[in-house]
Amino acid sequence: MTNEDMKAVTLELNAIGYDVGSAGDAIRNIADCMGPSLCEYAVMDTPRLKYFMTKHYIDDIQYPRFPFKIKTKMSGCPNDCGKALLHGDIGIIGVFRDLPKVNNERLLEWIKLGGDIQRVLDRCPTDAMVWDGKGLEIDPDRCVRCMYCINRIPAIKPGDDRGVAITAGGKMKGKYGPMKGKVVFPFVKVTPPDYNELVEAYNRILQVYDENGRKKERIGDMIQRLGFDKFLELCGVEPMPMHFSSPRRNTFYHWSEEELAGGVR
Amino acid sequence: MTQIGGIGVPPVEENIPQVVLRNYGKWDTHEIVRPGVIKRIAQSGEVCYTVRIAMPPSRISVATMLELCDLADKYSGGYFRITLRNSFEFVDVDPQRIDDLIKEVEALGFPVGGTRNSMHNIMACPAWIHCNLPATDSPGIAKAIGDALIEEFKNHRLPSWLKINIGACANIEEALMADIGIIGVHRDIPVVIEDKIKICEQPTVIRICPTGAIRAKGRESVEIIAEKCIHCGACTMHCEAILTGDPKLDGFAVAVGGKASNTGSGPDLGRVVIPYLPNNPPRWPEAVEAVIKIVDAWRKDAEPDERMREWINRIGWDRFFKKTGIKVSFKDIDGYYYGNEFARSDLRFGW
Repeated sequence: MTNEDMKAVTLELNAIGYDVGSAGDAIRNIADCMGPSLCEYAVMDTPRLKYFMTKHYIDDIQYPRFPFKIKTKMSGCPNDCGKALLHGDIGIIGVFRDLPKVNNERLLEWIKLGGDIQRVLDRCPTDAMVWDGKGLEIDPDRCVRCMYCINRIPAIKPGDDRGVAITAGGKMKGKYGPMKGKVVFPFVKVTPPDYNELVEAYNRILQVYDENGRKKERIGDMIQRLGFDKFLELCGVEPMPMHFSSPRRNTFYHWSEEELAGGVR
Repeated sequence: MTQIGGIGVPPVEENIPQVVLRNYGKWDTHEIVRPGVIKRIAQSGEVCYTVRIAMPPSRISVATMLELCDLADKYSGGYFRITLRNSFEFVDVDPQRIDDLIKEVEALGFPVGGTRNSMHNIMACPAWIHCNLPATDSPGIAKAIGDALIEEFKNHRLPSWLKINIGACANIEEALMADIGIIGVHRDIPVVIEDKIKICEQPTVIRICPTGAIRAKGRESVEIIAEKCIHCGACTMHCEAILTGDPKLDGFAVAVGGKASNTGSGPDLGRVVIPYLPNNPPRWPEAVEAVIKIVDAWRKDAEPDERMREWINRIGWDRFFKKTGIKVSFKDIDGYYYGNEFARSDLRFGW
């Protein structure tokens, strides 16, 4: 391609509504799943959020200004077809906080048509489903909202208290090898049309990366270098049990002056 | 931060058919009519049929794309979508004409399938087509494996999903995120081109090396310490004057057990079980044999609905190696940063 051709292609693409960009150390093209356009599981409107984010961050998509690339992936539900948690530098995944909704009448109909409820009961990862032959109840103390029963039984739908979880640091290449993403914001409300909470959370990760990332260092590597506790502190989040799969097993902390003066919180 | 503006991408409403727009967010359930054909049912009772076909891995010519677009014009009102696994899906096909459509796409050479308990479309990076890093030809491997497992793509005969991803170098994210992943492996020491090394930012090149195998040589060049090199390709990616790749030494590794969904044991990256197999174009017999070996063991042993990773979690890695007949080597034991986490600290062996 010659320079002239590139210019012409860009102008023609712009004319039909597409911007060019997403190369180099910028926010890369935001990948999303099909979301509610064809999928019944979606708890978050990914295509519209992608449209919004692409417009909102168009400058950061077109002009590389970060230490390294930032790949953003979106999935509409915890099935995570977009693999946002695994390979998104920043992943945005639709989640719900309340229990899955069970329609017992429809469930009985589904069983009558040959649905195998026993297999679903057996394969529920936390044994959270209680079935007495007439109705299904989900144990609130056991359910982890993994979507398994929702995927298998059309009578069970995701709950209504919906939002997104934002993860950071998934990657393959880079200094410390392949990494899974880590949950930074376990639950953020999605409020179209301006998505204030989500944009604020996203911006905080961008800002921490911009200020602390070294050249050619992905977010995952930066978290490894800084420590995940430090990263969360810089992001300004309130620590919760949702931030770790298990607490630490060493006592090697940093103590600040204030903490030493005021004792342990 | 910037205000909303720019051109961005076209609005969602422009690229979806009317039936989808009417039922946006109001879908209720779906059925797989036959492998590759999905019937999506909305709460209002409206239905939308989609037909999924496999696409060539990572490359498609304009001529092929136009042929597919013509078919989309003819059968689905010009609407299609590319799925996240690079399958091509005709959206909103008239149910009466699905058989005609399938006949036409199969005549063009595209298999229909890749839904539910089948092998889904194989993803591969473009490798040598436009990349300077690859150690193997991922589209070639994808084609060979796809040909060997074509019946699994067209039928629902497997215990659960089977996703195969292929990356030609250690940078490709996808390879560890599928049930079976193939990752290109370099085994040579990168070569520094002395005349060109000035174009690189040498402090960055020295620092990005994960094991400190690059050091300054004089004032204007760098050198690579062979014993420390782990062949990760970080230097070759950031500096055009450092080259890697030796056709005699390059090959690929096989990883299993990657999974993104939160169901079952939750999302996890795959683990490398075969550290090296040689490149053997054009039909890649080693790759095909390894994949079939793993798939057969999984198919024979897994319970219904059990992904590769959940099967391995149930039986344990020791039995996985026994059942697949893969020989364990020192290369299977992780000695990198997280190595200690993966060492065995219990005595619950599966002899």
